[in-house]
Amino acid sequence: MKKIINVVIPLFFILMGIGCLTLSSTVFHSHNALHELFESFIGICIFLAVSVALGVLYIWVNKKKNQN
Amino acid sequence: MKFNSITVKLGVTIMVLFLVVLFPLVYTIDQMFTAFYINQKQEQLENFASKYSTTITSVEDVNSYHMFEMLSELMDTELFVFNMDGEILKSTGVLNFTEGTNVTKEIYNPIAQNGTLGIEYKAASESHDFFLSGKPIMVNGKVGGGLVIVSSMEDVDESIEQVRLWLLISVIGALFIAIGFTFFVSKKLSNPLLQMEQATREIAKGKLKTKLMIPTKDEVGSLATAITDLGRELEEYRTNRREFFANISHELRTPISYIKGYSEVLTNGLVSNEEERNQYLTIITEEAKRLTTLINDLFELAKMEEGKIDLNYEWLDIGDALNSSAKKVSLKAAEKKIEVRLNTASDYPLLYTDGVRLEQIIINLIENAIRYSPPESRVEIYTKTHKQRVEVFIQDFGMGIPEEDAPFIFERFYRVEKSRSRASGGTGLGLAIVKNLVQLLGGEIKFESTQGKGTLFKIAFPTNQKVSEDK
Ligand SMILES: Nc1ncnc2c1ncn2[C@@H]1O[C@H](COP(=O)(O)OP(=O)(O)O)[C@@H](O)[C@H]1O
Ligand SMILES: [Mg+2]
Repeated sequence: MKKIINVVIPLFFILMGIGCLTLSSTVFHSHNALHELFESFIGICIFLAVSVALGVLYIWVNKKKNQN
Repeated sequence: MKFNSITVKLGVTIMVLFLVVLFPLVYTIDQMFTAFYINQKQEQLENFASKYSTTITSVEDVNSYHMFEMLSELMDTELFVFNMDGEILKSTGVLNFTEGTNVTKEIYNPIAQNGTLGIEYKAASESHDFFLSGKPIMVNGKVGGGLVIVSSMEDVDESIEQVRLWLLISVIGALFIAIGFTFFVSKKLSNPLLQMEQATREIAKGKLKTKLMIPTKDEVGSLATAITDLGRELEEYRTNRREFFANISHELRTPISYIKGYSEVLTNGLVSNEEERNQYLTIITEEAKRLTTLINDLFELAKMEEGKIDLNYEWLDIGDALNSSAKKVSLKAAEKKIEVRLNTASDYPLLYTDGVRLEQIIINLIENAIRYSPPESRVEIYTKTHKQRVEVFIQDFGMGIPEEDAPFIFERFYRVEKSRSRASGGTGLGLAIVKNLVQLLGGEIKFESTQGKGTLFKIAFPTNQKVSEDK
């Protein structure tokens, strides 16, 4: 139960954050708002994923180094 | 989760770092946007002013101005024109720039000098600012008057407010994302620490075999290994102590039961003759002596292991130490008709060490050699000098030490043959004391033994004064 809360709360925060960023990056586009919304959502997610991937890569490399 | 826990501290630290970066960044972006918007607007007005001013060919003829009112309406700005006297000739009637009034110097001067006017204007009657943008009107190559465009900054301010609002929202969004990731990261970073804290608690509670699984090779990982090792060491120590007490009580009980038994026989008058009586009395004395030795040895060992032993370092000739040791064991040697041969040929070096302790070591080893050799054999003592150290060899030709017992003979109470050792007055503590003493004096002890052929004990000490003292 506690484990689930520990995952759900941060995930909730992250999703909220992505939501805020998506909204504010779309708000000044008045044409084709839905498309823009989608596009900026994907863009933000990609940027996040790249940074997270960098972190994961670092941890992974460290683990590999430790095993040798 | 406690508020003071390491996870929270880590999380807060990360967040603070994040804010340190974010706030200045947001401030910069806000400033950039504001300046950009205002500039844009002003350029636009200036452009319009300079274009429109060229369409006016005669300042005084106000009816020749093209689409004066209409432009004002389309551009959502107000205009007025003044002549070189500063008098406003035509105006869309904004603020107090009405026709017939004079403009202020601030407005007049830049234009009269054939320059561009661009000032912010605060009107007392209005809540927001205005921007005045003006250009001279050229007539026949000379400045004939000025055109000024008055534009309210309200919409610009509104736009900036909007951007600011959404910037704030995106900052909050970024903050949320940061909080989310901080949760994970601070958990991950503090997890090994929490694990270690728990493990140490378990160890303190007595679960000494607690194992920590932290595979990293950094300081955290090595701390975890250290904790595991600590637990193992404590466990070892506990078993050791348990065994030690079991051994002690056993070793103490044996002589006491002898003393008790024979003294009871004597007090009950169960002896038939004087000879038997004397025999019993001898046994009692022997056992009392053994008890004394045992207790002395134990006391000595305890002091050594606690490091509470005082060493009196001095320069001494190792030959003297060997000679006096040999003299002290000569009685015991004579009992078994064993010859103690001291090789005096070599040139003995000086040693910086504790003479009394050194003799104690050597006597112990010679006594063992005598004890575990058959009668009429011999014990040889000789030395070898190296550059940095001296080696002392004590060689006997006795029963030797079986290979399977070899690793343990330095342990307390360890004896290869309990009965024989006991019969000859051994306590099983001798070599333990020797090993401790040798280490205290900064030396080393080793032995080689062949069962049935004999044993060679080697002790080595550094000759260098500094090395001895450092150890
Ligand atoms: N020179 C030796 N030759 C054969 N065995 C030895 C010799 N020295 C020590 N040992 C063995 O090592 C054991 C431990 O020695 P020590 O600690 O001096 O105890 P103790 O002499 O009281 O029996 C002895 O009981 C004996 O079995
Ligand atoms: Mg002994």
